[in-house]
Amino acid sequence: MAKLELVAELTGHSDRVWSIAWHPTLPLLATCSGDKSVRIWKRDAGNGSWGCVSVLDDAHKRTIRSCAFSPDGRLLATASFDASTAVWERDGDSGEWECLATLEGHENEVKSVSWSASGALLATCSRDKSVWIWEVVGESDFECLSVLQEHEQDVKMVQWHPTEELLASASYDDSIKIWREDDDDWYCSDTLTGHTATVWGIDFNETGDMLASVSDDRTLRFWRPDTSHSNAASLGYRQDPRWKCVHTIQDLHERTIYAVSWSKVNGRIATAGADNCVKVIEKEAMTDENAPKFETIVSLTNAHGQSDVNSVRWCPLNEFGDLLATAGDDCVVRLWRYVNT
Amino acid sequence: MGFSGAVVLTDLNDFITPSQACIKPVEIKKTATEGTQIRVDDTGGYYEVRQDGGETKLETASISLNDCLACSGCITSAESVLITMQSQKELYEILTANKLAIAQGRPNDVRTIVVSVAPQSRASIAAKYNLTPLQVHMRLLWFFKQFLGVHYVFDTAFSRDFSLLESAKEFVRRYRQHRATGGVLPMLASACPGWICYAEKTHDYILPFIDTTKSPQQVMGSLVKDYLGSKIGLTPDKVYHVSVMPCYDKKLEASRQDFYNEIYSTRDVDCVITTGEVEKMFGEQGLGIGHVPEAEVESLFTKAVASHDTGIPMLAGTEGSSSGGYLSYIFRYAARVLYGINLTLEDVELGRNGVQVRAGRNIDFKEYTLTLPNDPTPVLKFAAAYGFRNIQNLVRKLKPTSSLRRRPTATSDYHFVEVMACPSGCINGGGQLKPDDDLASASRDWVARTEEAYRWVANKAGVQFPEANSAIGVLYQEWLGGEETEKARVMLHTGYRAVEKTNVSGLAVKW
Repeated sequence: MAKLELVAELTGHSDRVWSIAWHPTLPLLATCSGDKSVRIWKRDAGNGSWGCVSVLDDAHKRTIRSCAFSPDGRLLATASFDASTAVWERDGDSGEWECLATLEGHENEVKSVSWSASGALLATCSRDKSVWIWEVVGESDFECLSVLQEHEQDVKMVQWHPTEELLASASYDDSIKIWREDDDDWYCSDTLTGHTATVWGIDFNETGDMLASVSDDRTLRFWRPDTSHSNAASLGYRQDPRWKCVHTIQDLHERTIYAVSWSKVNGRIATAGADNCVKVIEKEAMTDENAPKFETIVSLTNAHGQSDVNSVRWCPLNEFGDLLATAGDDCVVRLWRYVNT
Repeated sequence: MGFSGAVVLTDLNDFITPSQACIKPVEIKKTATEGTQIRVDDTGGYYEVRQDGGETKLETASISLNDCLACSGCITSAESVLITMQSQKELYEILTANKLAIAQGRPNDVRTIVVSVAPQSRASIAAKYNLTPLQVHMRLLWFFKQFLGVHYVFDTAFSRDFSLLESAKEFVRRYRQHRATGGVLPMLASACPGWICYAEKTHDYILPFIDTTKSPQQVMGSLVKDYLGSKIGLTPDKVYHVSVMPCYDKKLEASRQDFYNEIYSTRDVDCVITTGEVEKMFGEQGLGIGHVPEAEVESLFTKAVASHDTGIPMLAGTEGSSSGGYLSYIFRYAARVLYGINLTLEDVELGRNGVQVRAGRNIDFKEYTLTLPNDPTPVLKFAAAYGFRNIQNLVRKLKPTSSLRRRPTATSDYHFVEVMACPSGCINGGGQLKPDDDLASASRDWVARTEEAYRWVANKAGVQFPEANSAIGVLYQEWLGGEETEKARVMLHTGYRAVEKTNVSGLAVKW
């Protein structure tokens, strides 16, 4: 039997916790909240306990909806309902985080922020229906590379591909869009339709040949680029492969599914939603790549009591690959260990 | 909709949403106090039902372009509003009213109709129908004057010469002041209404940087309503002025309060129709642009020269970019006036004689600098920045309180920036004709083709510099009483105001 064992309960936020970001190389995570602050939590190397080491609370005037570490772990980006995105730098000596830049331009609430695999690009999205791509210039400046306005509604989340310069965005218009760059600008290379309500969360698998998405329609969907080039109809007009839905898990949660995390360490998928549940899903071995099968192996109810679970994230470190962080409307962040007895 | 009976609404001030995209709360005059109900009848009419049973029909909410200008909800405007408020239908109505007035023997009610055509619109039609812009101009002359009964057709490349001359003078003034006491630089071009709207609604700190010179459309507006009107003895309201533009946002520009004459309740430009709407007009009249007759070019308020071969008037070319050529003209003017360096068009275009041209991060950003011999620091540093992404980087760099907390901001050290909201500039305006095949690759070729059509005029007839346009010199004297007069300031310049952030109704916003 597989299950999630509670490892730690991180309290300190004074409003609902919206999102979680694990540090790419250290046993450390950042969480952001309606209390307009980011808290950095760290594992004590001595006794293995988790505690808050920093509170970043002087950059945003409204809710911080999303946070993300750069791939080298040096920078933290935070997206806020105050229409700005802040970029923080960690001082190597003191470990303190200092606001390096604020990126303005979105008309209203910024909903999500994501760093590209190389750390050279940053993507943000907003209720203004746009996705912005920023380039890191020099040590601390950012230039807007593109403003993409093809979503018809509020864009809920942006997520870069784990290795390529390819961006996925999820929206209230029920679609997911894939963005690529050509000689001069970014363009929408594919629109993934199938969800029948808001797409709230997306995540790639380790190699980036699959994308998982969760929605208000209570399904978890899996998408793969169709690389069978014999089928010309599957190609976008720039010869980009079309992404097709290869599996749908219906009624995974009883209410809206808000978040999905695909572990880059062990390949397990975790979801969380408004039904207060956290689920762990595993891909069955030896299934056809174009018709994969999945199994729900953990179903944890009331992970945050009677509160919605807003975010779920697997730890990316090999050593702690079984650690799962969740955040809820109860202002609490919980760390769980996946165990298979 | 399945509304029936009385729908009870309390404290609701916007029960009709004009369009899904528009989030401006519409205020409806209500006498409502407590306990009133709203009844919807079978035809969709809304009635306020008082407690005593009496009913009052409620007005239908509508959004005007003025509302758009005053609202910070959208960057420019909901497209549906732009298309419905000013269109060819308005022009048809005036034409019909004129015919009626003549038929009924009311000559005093006939309004003089003027159509001013932008050179980018001519280029777009030329590119699509395999014509030259000169042919397009002659066909539009035939269509508007002989077919529809419009009285005058003018050319905004003509009024643009005023815009260029005034912009260049304003630039030199700002530059000298900057050198002396630290004036406001860079000067940012003001001809693009999308950019102006955006700056006014979201970046008020940018407004002092914007060139106060009116756009060619609005200079033509002053010229038509003030000068032409008085010449032919008509008050401004007796002249109906239409402009043909490559851009929907020009409709917003024409609606600005600054260009409204309160005494005569009339605008300098009464109606703006886009290139696409002109094409539609031909269709509505059962005509094909490719097959209509051509009328001879007239020289009144038209940038025209006599052909070398035939002596017949033809369109004269303009310098620089197809977005008005502000950068090129001001660059050369400043080099001459400030540093005594005479640059040719090719010097600026190709980067010679002290001019360096540097490609930017993308095709819509280009930098032009002028350095003097023996001094590596450029004395002129100009840029062309088109499209939203380049505008973003520009406004970020001009932001007064550094967005970088720790390190100093990389401030913009440009002296002038030709800013346009559309990628590729006005030639690719939102109102231009579209290729039949709507692929991105095709659209790039399409823009190049339109650009080529635009260039045809200068290649054919040569460039006529604004100083060489003798009619402009005459108008400065006759109309404005000379340069730098109060009249010249009023007729050729304008101002910008920040739009207050409105509290947008949360209920009307789609989350």
